[in-house]
Amino acid sequence: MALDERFVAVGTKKVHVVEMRPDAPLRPPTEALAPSAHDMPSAGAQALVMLHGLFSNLSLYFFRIAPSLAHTYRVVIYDLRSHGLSERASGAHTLEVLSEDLLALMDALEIEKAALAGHSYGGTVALLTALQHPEKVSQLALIDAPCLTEPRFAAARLRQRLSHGRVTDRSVARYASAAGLSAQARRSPKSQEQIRYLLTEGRLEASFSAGRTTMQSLDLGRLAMPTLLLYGTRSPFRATGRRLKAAIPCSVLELVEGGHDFPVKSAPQLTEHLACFLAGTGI
Amino acid sequence: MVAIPPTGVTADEVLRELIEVLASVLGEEVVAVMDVSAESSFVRDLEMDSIAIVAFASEVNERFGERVDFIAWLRGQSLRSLQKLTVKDVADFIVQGR
Repeated sequence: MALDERFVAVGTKKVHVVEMRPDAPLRPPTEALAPSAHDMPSAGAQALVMLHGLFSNLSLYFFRIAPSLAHTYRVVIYDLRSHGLSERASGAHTLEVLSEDLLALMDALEIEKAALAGHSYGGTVALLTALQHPEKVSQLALIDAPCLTEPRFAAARLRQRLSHGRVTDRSVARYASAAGLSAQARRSPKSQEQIRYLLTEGRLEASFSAGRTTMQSLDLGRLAMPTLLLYGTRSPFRATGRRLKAAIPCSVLELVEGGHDFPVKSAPQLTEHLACFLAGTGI
Repeated sequence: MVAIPPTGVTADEVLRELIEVLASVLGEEVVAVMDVSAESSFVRDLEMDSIAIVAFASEVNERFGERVDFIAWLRGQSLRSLQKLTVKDVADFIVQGR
């Protein structure tokens, strides 16, 4: 497996990207370096682009998920704007803005069409992209992704979570908890600062409201590509999985033991579900 | 980029190179005050977050990846093992894996 970590210019911002792809097998150093059939690996491999959720970063997939899938696919994982090592960007972090980033990144990497897999808000970005640009998406995997039409994203509930418009320590803690961050991450000053940044400069509350309006206006029944709905058995979004299953024609709903953070705690199971779905075999 | 160490490289040499990688990821001034040793754990002692460990792992793979499958080795670690990983664990794998 070959690995390439770099920064890619997307618009005026730098995006942190890691690619993993099939490559020639390791060989002893004494072996000749002449090209062989083993060295013709990844040019034709199908692209799989994976999106993490809010307040997370590409490490969600880097250690235990992407390497397994990269034996078969050209796996692209990246830090969303203002996350991980990607450049920060003030202004709304709406589904549309993040979807434009995704499409621009695919263009920059010369990926015409890809399978998309996204966790949480990253999944909702993938869903919007598939609805608005179906020609760019071959398969779609939504991993515990909300639709933003859930009651918890209603304006009144958001204002309540934000302590009525003021970003306090308590509202930061509420968002960290809702995003399923680990206890260690919730305590981290760096994480807390990032949440505070996204709630203020990143206008997250307004972004959710805009996303809610967008998602309410779209017809999920138009989605024609194979779609995997992977939800946690104890996730607050489990009902969303059922609703999406009823609305999306070519969808399959599968449950994984755990809450909203099951991609962290049940990475091998998630990988197996994704691998079977991408191969078209089901689990 | 530093060349792959020749056959017969010692654990000390690999360790020295890993500390170089840490300096490039965390900054030389940070590494200088942290007293990095073989026993240092990335998370507890060096206070590296997940994305810093990604940058470290990518650079280690860049330097040693033609001889050892570092990413596959990481993939085989449990979440708990990853959180406890030390500089020596990585050095031992690189020395023994070649």
